[in-house]
Amino acid sequence: MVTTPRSRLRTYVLLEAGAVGLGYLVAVLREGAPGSGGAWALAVAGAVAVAVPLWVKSRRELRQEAETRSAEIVAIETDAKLRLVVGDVVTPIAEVVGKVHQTAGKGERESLRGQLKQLVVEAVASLCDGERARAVFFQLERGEMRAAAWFGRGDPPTTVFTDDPADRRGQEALLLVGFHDYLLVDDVRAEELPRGAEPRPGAGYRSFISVAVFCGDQNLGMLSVDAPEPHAFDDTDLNVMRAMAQLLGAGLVDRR
Amino acid sequence: MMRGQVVPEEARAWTAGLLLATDYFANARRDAVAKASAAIRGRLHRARGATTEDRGTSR
Repeated sequence: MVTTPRSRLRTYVLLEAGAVGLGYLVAVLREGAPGSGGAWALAVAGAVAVAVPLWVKSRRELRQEAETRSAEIVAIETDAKLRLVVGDVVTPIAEVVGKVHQTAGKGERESLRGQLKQLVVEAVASLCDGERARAVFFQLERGEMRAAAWFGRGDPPTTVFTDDPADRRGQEALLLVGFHDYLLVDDVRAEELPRGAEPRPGAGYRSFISVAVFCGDQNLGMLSVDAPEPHAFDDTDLNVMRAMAQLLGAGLVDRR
Repeated sequence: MMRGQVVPEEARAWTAGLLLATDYFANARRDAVAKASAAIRGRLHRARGATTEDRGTSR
């Protein structure tokens, strides 16, 4: 959460209004209090004429300040996200990818790969903007995809994507991986989705991103992040997902 | 001058499973926001200073 320092503009505006009001009062009273109804009306009209531009100016200044602060907060959040993605996630995960390929023993390599899958889903669930996001890596093995690592809200994922003709969602997910594609859906209830991309009945998410995990011509699975609210993810989240999927692919690929 | 570790100890602790992701990301996010805040406000401050100087010299 970005906090901003307290503004002094309101105090200045109040001081300015007080000084102008006092000046006007002194100017009116210098020649004695208005003696008739007409003189009072003239004094009030003068006060309004002084107050209106002052009010317009202060409103404009306060609005400008609010806009400047919003722009500053957006800039800080963007810069913070860049620091998180590059410095705190990609750098340590790239080190693990390197270790996977340096390790000679098969057992140790598989252990590091398990670790890598978990790190990637933790990073994706923490970096993507969705409230209560959940990230899952579905690993492709013998033509089926099952959850190999997950992190975030809810129960462990149980979906298995298969090539069975009755499993339309499975076929579509396998095609997405086969074509090395990604899919971002803003709202599963509002959008017209391609057949097979709709959620299973009772699914607890409204928006999701799914990205193929591959390296060269080896298809390795699918990385997904979902959130219970619509429009939870944007282009930046999609790019984070693409980068993380490629890092995961680089770590899981077998040497030929 | 700045010098430090490419992969900091805290990041290594997370990748080695010694630090929970929730703790790691909470700390990392706090640090990132603090550094980003200082960097952006510093840049804005310098930009405002440069604008004021430009006005002064153009008179």
